[in-house]
Amino acid sequence: MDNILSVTELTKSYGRKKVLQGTTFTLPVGRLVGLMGPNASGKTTMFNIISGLTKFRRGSVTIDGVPVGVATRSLVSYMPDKNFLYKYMTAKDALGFYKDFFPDFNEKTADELCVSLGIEKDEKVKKMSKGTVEKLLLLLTLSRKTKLYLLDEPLGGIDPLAKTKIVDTILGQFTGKDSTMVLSTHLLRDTEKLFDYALYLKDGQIIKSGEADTLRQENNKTLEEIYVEVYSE
Amino acid sequence: MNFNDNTPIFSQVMAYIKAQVAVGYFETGQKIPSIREMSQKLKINPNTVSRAYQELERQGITVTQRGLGVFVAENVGQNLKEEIARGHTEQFAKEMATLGFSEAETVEVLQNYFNRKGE
Repeated sequence: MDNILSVTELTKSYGRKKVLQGTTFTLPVGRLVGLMGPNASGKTTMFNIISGLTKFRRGSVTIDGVPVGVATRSLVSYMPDKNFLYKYMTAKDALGFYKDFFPDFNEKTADELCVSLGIEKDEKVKKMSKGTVEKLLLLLTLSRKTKLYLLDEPLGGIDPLAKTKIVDTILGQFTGKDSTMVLSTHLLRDTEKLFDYALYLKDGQIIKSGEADTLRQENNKTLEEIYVEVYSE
Repeated sequence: MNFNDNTPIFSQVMAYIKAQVAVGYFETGQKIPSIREMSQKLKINPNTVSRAYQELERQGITVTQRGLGVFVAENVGQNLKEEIARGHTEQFAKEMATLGFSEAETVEVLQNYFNRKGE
């Protein structure tokens, strides 16, 4: 099977603190992947590296066979866990910003998602609630037509209704064919049925990975129970 | 549809559709929802739905017509009814045995239940 992402012996430290310690894994194409791990396990660092924002010293990362770098920017659409939009911008400005930056930005998708997520185009980012900002970032990320989507904690700190909307949107945009989505989360109750592939990151290493249903069957546990088992050891 | 925990989700989707066919919600020759529709409705991964659909087809419960969709195969309702009934019965018998009831006692318990219910 084709792999969209291949990470080999990836090591990254910040000063003396080792964040990723020889992480190795591959991701098959066309999956909705859960990247599991508690806070400070290295999820965001991993995303920053895959999206080409952070340099790393050792190991290799290839996306669709291409080493990560300028050439892979167009292959990855990344939603960081922190808002990166200027406060003075309106939703409309943000859409324009993405349209100018990314040739693969699909305005039609963006408009449709604005309606389904209830985003007011004239509202300013600084007036938006946390949930609305989250929805806007998701909309921008998913309106690009790329091969790999990275969503860092898209369900963090938002109310159940907004969560449902976001899950619906992710499912609606996921084709299951030529694109792969990776969501980092520790809220497994909300995402158990969403993932068909799971990665468990602990202390900078992938210590368990595979098809979600196979993991469930082999361990006779839910992804959430596996999570508890893996991280309480 | 309520998902339970440890069973693979694709087999739970299969059981769900089989039950719908058994009770006649989906009839012979009727089109069942597309993978995308089912995925949105149950809020589960479309690849998981797709795997369930492949397995249903392999078991002869559905038939895919290219470009048209997935349809319930002929004469599967009655078989599915029996299959599901067998499952429930096995489960019941097993639990009664665990409680220490003999076969005869189990039948009696069931008979008494129906008698009381009929009153």
